[in-house]
Amino acid sequence: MYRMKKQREQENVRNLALNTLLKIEKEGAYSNLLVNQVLKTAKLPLTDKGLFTELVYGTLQRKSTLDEILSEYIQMNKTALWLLMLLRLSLYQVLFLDRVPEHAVVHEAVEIAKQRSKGRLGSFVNGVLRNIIRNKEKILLVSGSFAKQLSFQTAHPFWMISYFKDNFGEEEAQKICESNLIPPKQTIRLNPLRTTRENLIRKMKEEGFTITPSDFLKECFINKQGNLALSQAFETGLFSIQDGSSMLVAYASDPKEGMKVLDCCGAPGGKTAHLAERMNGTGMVVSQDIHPHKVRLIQKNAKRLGLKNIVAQLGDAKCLTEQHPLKSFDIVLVDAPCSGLGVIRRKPEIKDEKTMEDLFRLQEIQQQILQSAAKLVKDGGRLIYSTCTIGAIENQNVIQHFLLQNPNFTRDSSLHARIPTGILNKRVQKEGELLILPHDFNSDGFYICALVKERIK
Amino acid sequence: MAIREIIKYPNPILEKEMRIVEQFDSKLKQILEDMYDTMVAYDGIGLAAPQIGLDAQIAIVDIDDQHGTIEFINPKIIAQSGSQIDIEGCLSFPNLYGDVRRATYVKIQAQNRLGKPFILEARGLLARVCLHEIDHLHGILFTSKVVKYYQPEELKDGKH
Ligand SMILES: [Zn+2]
Repeated sequence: MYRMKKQREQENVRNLALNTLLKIEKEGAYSNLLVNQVLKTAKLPLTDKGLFTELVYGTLQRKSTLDEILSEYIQMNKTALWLLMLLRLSLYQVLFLDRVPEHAVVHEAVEIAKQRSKGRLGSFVNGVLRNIIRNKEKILLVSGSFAKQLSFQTAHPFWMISYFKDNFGEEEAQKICESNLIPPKQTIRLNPLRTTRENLIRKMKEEGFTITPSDFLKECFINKQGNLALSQAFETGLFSIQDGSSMLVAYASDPKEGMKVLDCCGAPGGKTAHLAERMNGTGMVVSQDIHPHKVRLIQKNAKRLGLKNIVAQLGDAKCLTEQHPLKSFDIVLVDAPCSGLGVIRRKPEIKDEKTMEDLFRLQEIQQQILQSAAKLVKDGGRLIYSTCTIGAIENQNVIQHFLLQNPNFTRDSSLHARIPTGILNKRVQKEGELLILPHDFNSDGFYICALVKERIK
Repeated sequence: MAIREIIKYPNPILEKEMRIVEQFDSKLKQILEDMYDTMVAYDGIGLAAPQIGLDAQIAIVDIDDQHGTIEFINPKIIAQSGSQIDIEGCLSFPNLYGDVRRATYVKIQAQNRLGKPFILEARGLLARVCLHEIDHLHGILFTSKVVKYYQPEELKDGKH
């Protein structure tokens, strides 16, 4: 049955945010996908679209902080999920969103509570929120240990903060956590087979978008506002949507025309396409994924971009030798499944969902894939390992372990020569490695390692 | 997530008695997930299996209240009382709206996605939506119960 107009009129941006948050919580839906989907289908005025995005991401990102405060005012485990979520959403606005007046937040929350409880819970919500507002100053003045304070300020779990601190020190850990709260910028990668820089900027301008060139990468542009995936230029394959950090994988791989390249965890195909573009449409990039629908996604992307040198196929990266002859690729890329600790600003739910055990579970898979991929590299060829996570367990430790077991591979001493110096100068990089933290360039946290296979003399 | 196509009147499946569900398996779970995605995508507050072309006694209802999404497998109405008239629309009849008389209170027995029986008591709008969807499972369309149709322009005055 249809929702009739009298109910539809009560739909507002906070209600929509609440429903979206509930869906993410109940179904474990990825927040960025769901937010985009809602923005596409919901009939919200443009001004509310920004608020909607901010409410959903903000509430998710600050969840543990919000819960810590709420637990002093309500019995968390006895509160219905929708009510708890409504209180989180409202508290987020009271504490962190200065542009919304407190009385408006309370009023809206009470109305939503009344609607959802047939009037019963309006005064309860009113009481809780007013109580918290009375103590706002005290709440915001928190002290304590580094991890506790940072956890409170930035809503990361303790283990994650300690892990960042162990890996990068207190100062960097703080910067990582703070930068994870900044909403992500959309960046795009120009398709050199379809357009030029000047042409793309002009075309986007015609469509009402403003893009500015990145300071470091010639094919990278940053979007000012709006969703570029909805543009005509995207449809016709003039560019891909990709984060700047992950563009560095093609720099590290540096494939030449006519080469045979394997991207063994290829979906959705962003890096695959970048490699194929750098090969000028020649040679062959085999891009695999274990799920059929993701293989179709790679195919769709290749078609949109007009890249005929991409072969998308089904395959398990853990047993590559069953599908390809040994030593049959010039370059093999392992963009491994990972915990995503570098992309928290895009997927804040990672903070709640991932545990330390996950890192070790993933490490095992990463090692397996790398081991299987190594066998397909030609003598003198390149093996590239990348993740969108930060921290040694899934990165440096995987490489160390691999090198111990495979003495015929060494770190690629020529890697840094292929990376733009502006990027290299940000931090001290080890030979054959590239580490990007999210606050370095306001891009994804990323790890890349390039290895070379010995030439048989 | 999969959004299915909505079957529109006069497709004959909409006027058939649906089959009883006997298998409570992962396929059923997938159907329920798809029905939810479809209902949300089309701005519905209820959806019945025949509306996505499935011959099965499955319906879901979600009016954004504290009940959340209610999933009915093989539902039966075991009691109803009262009478209310209000406007309804159906995803299988785009742009058609009419007043329908329904009970104000209904007691429903059904099974959940695991096959476990439960009883739900509903009032007001929730009762209305449940009755509308359960009707679908027996091939009964709201058009057979409409007491007054609305002209499209009547709906613009903000009354509804
Ligand atoms: Zn209907």
